[in-house]
Amino acid sequence: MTPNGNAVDFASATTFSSQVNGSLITHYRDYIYRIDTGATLYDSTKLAVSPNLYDKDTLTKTISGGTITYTGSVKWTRTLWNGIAFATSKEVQFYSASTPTASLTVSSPITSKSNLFTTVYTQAESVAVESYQYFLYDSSSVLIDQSDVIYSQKLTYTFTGFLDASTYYVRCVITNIYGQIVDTGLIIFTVDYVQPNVYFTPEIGLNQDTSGVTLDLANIVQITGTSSGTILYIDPYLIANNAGLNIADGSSYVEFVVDIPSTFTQTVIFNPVGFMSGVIISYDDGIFDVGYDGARFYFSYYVAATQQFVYGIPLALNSTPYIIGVENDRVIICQNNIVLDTVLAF
Amino acid sequence: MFLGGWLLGISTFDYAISSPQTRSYSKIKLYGGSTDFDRLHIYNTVKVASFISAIDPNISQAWTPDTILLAEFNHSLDGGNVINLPAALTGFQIYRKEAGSSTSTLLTTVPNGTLQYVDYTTQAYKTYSYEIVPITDTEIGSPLIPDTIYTDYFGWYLMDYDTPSTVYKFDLNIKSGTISNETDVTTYQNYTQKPSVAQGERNYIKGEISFMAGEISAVDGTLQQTSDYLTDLRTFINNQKPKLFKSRKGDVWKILTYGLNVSYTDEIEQQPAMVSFTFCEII
Repeated sequence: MTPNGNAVDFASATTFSSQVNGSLITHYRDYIYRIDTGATLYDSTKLAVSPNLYDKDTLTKTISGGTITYTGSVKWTRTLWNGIAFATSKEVQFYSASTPTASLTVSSPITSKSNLFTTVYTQAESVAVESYQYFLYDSSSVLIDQSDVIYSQKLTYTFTGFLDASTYYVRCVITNIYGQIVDTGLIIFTVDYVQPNVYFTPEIGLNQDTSGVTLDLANIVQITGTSSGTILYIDPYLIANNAGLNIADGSSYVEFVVDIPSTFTQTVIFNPVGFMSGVIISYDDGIFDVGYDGARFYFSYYVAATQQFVYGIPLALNSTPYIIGVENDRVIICQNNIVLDTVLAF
Repeated sequence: MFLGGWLLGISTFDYAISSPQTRSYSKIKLYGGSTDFDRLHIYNTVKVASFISAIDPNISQAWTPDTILLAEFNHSLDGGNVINLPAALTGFQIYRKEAGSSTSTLLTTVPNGTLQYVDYTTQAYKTYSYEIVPITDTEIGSPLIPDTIYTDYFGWYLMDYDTPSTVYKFDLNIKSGTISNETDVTTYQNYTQKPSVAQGERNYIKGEISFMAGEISAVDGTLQQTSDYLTDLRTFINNQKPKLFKSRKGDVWKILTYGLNVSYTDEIEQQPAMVSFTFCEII
């Protein structure tokens, strides 16, 4: 007999069916009542079955939508007549409940490799959620990932591993404690996240002795500079899609804390945009500086607590980008791939 | 000054001179004064002047193995190769994607300071790409992407499933025999023309593999098969822990192993041993 144990929504037409066992069936009666009070919700009264039914036939009758408005636990019985006698079925329990709805909204495009999906479940009588399951499909609607069946009312799940510039579909199927199933259907979304503009390729290798793929994480570093005073970003600058940095006055600076070994090379690309004079690059707060005194680049350092200066040749600055290369004992000033000057410390 | 003294064979100073080239530094500052900067790049090697003069200010530079800082001032003061993360790095998510797949799979999250990660769960003869995603407590940074890799390893591999610190490789005199597929099927004889057949969920593999075990000497490439090796292998096979087992064909199974059998070849002085064990796939 159906319905049996599950939930139905009497707002819509509801079909009651049962299999006939035994002899000829001429009449039937469906009777539905509340479990808590025993009050009658529906009584078809004794009605003729036309045409008559026989053994293994199915008797199907429909109750029009809106006939029953009660929501809660109910029971129904079916009585059958064969023209001589009648028999009444066992009581079958089920639930009268409104059809739930589910809404899965995705803020597309997703700007990350992963996303927490949340579905909103609504049911007029507040029938609780028993379980749910999420499904992920590719752009061709082929299932590529799914959650376990989650016994919770959170209705959230995180899928990870989205590829940039891709399209996916997500879907959530919810089952409530009355067995009602609600499906959000396929919800489309796209993925678009920022790719790095500084590419660093970590080392990767395959070990034939172990079959392990080794990823080298040792050289992955986070260095974040700090600023003092006034700095501005200029966009665009020399490189397309890559801003530049303006340090507005001689007292402002940007500092990086980083271990620089005794043998090193440093290059900085800069462009004077007005009268420039003073320190440009400073190592350990003046222990070793490179600057421009208004006419010449210089190199300053301390020997026995005494500041030493070494000056280059006079250079009148223009607005074409300069590259200052600093090595252990020299400063190299370049412009347009030409070395303009080399200032040696000794 | 110092050069002149050195050429004369004596120092012109009566005190030790600490010159810039012998000193390391811990911070660097860029000062302004009507100045625009586009890039700061520090290497831990000494370049030549031609390298510096050849730099094109209009082309973005890449992080190279000798780079220790690269700041491009692209709306941030990032100077490392982890960028777009305003908070302190706490670790890395490691993703893997098989060529042709629509998604990548999160393999693990490792804390910051981890020097190396080894993925033992690859299948043979596949092309994989990886993404190393820096994370903070609340944010995800731009991924670092190593080159793709093709897993052309050869042999059978057995390792601990949870912490595969020791990996046994078997590729000599392998006999994998029949690997049976264990299922749960019951046939009911109903005195009808055809029986009723019920099939359960059971579906796993079981088998036995035999091989000549041992360690290849790094000195001369010969097979070393000591009693210690066999003892360790027996302990490992019977330790009741789940293991990862990879076949030469590219299968990857989670298994339990048991029963290490040893058969010595007495005709040969070194008595090389063929060993075998039974394995059973588990959840």
